[in-house]
Amino acid sequence: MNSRARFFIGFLSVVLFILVWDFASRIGWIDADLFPPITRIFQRALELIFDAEFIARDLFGSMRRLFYAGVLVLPVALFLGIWAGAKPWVNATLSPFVNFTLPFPKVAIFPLMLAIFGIGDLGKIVLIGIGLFYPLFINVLHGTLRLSSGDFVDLTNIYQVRGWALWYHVYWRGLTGDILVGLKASLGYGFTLVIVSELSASNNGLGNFIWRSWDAFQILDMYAAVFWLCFLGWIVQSALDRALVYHFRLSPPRT
Amino acid sequence: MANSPAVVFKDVTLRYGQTTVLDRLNLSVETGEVFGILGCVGAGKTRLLRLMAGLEQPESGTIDFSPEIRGQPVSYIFQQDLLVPWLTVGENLRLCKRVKRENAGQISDWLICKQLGLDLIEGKMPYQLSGGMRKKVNFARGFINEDRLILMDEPFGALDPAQKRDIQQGFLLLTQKVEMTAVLVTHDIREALLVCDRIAFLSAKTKRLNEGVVNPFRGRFDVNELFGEPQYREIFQAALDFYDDERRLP
Repeated sequence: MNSRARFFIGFLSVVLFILVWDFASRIGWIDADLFPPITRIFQRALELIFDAEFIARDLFGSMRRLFYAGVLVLPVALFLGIWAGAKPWVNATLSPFVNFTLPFPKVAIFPLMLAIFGIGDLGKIVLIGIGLFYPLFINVLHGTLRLSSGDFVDLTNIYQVRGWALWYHVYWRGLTGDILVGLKASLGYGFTLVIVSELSASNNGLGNFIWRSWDAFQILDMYAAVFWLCFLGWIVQSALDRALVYHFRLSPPRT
Repeated sequence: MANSPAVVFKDVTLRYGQTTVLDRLNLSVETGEVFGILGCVGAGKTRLLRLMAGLEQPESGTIDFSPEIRGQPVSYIFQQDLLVPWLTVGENLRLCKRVKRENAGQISDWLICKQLGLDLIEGKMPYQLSGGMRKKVNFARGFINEDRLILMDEPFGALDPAQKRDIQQGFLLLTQKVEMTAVLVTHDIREALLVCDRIAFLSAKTKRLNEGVVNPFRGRFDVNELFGEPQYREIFQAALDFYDDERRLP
């Protein structure tokens, strides 16, 4: 199937879904209070995007938390992933902590974060940061382990590839795919944690907006906020997907 | 051919767990010669090269080098091309280039541009190259540093006859232009007779090298005439007999 046909089928399925939902809601096949016509949801979403309070307080509030958490944590995850992959003693030091803390749902420590950091932004940012850390760290760690073992080690040893050449041309450029995949997973989880952390102990953010809408039974607002959340996530994931496609076109995985 | 040994193995033993790969192996490669090692699959030829390169250490025995080589880096042409997939051909070559000597690089430039034509594909990614071109890049990488000791693990494998001849001719010219000692590992008797000054057989049974035979036919591509020469046929037959003998169970 070519890309045009794939796009057409995807487009058609979305249009069909919208039509069926809208029609079903309008003629009463589904409860219009809980599932309002989808065209009204789009209308409300458009209204919200021109609502300065929604943008400044909620949309930017959520994005700001995600941004701060990312800026604080992603470089650390990247650095530690490469360092642990390249140096076995660092990996041995970090592994017990990572393996022990990886499986638990990060949301479970939200109350603890509130207790430690208070109900301000810091606790939420730390929680989001913890969620962002693991996927990127693990992807980069395993990518670096792959590059640090076997054939490439012989090559770099024989030709004495060291310093900048080793770290930039072998590790950094070799890890681009792993970093992008890690970022994709990290940001996907990050969005979840942003919303969860704002559902309580918050007075702004998309999560808080959804919660306020629920309190006031503003179903349309809930859907509209979810729409913008999905839209933002889609933009970020699409950008990373494009970067991945571009990267693997340049350097397809070794076979 | 010079006289002093460039590499000397004395009673070198290499084991992997319970398996003995090399057993009290002795070897002497003269300075300036191209030394060929023939042997069956799994005889330990690559391990022997890795020992020379310092990529592995022997369990016992000593490996000594001439003063010109001792402590200096060596070049290694790997059996797999080992091109870094996310670097272009040019970047792959530059990544491994470490020459600092005066006038160094001229020979490699000549090899890369004129003999192998790699300057035309400098900006290409490895996945855009045919297997033969990848082999050429791998081969060129082994010579860009103009090291005194070059270790070659089946560098001419997986090439069509024309590509193989290009690289072999390049190699023969290089050995005239550059002061170097080379050790070639191969399965191909004809190839060994074409490029090597001396050939030895590594036995998978004894785990040792037999005494090498001096090859007076180096650099000769005229296959038909070569097979008309009794000494060529004799060496060729000896190599075939060695392979036959290796196949028989002990």
